[in-house]
Amino acid sequence: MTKTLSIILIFLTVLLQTTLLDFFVIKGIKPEFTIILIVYYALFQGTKSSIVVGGILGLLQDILSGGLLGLNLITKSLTGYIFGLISNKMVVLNPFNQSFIAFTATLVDGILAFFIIKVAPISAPGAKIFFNMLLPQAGYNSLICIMLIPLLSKLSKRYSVKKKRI
Amino acid sequence: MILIALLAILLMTLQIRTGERPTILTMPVIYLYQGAHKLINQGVKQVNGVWNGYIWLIDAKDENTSLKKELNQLKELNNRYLEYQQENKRLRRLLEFKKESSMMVVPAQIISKDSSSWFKTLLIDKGSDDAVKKNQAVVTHQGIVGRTIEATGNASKVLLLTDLNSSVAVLIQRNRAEGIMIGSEQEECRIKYLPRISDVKVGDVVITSGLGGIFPKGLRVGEITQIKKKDYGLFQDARLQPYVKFSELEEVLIVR
Repeated sequence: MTKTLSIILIFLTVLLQTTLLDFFVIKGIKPEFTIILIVYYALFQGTKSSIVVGGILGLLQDILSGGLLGLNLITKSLTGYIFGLISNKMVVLNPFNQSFIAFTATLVDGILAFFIIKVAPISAPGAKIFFNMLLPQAGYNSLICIMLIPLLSKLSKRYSVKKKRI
Repeated sequence: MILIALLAILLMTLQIRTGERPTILTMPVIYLYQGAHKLINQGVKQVNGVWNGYIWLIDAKDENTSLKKELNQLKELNNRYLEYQQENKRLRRLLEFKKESSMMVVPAQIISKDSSSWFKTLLIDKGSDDAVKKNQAVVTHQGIVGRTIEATGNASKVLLLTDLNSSVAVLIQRNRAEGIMIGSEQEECRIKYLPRISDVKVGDVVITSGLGGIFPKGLRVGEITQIKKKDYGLFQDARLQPYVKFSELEEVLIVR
């Protein structure tokens, strides 16, 4: 995937995350396209790319959010790092396995954020949030991942073909 | 990875120590996304119109083409009119509230909501250019929404009442019992430090007490939905449902 396409994807993902995804909120749970994009980069573009994409996505989220600056920067890049390393050890082409990875990545990102918030001197949610927010969100993300990752793969392939022709 | 981790720790430390965010970093991003957010919001309004028009077209299958076109246009006009009417209603309510309250207020539109599930904040289209500062109350005709936590050129961030880091000094309107309202993980709030001896009932109206200096006294906050009284201790806790429907918010007023 080229740098330009990556920049466009990062910009659009954060834009969607802060606007249109509010229409897809189910019982207060909003899907996180940012994590799906990180999973895609971890699975198909390597560890370095997933760390960088995770870091940029996280930083943009932090800036647009009113929360702790740097929180998403570290959790998203760490998630990219962990799943980039995992994908180095195995090839995950089955959509259901990809969906399971998105599920796990959401949990990893959430657990990391939970512990950082607990350590920081700000009010932190209780452990209930694991069942009330993280698990449903992980499920939601894994469902969306089944549709979104093939779409991202197609987009990436199409762009690569065009580049070869030139 | 180590560099990113160091940068994140540096940013967190800066924010926690100074209580401010580095505007050099945040301002350009907010400015860039503000334009895009406005475009998206306009797009959503137009898509709504087209969608309604489409549904209407299914109903009018049997009618002739010219009539369809004409009616479609009328429907679109009507949709626009309804949209304006609804906006007018909301703004009128805000205006009435502004007149009644005799507070200096700045109207603002919501641009976007927090992308992360950990914090409950909003981005609004008025900032330091409109004399909006940190720690100003944000309200609607329904009640209080939250307070500003950051103001850049033409955008500000609002911390909602329901965020875990929000705390507001409140009192029960009926018996004047004072407490501190804080956010929770859900779309409701908790009131702590209510004197144990005060008679609090489900359905009691809660208003701001004016203590703390951010929220003017007497603004509507919400209704008590549950009381938690232990067998011991000096205080009792309560749960509160805010009057403001946060998911339906479109315009707000910033109290100066």
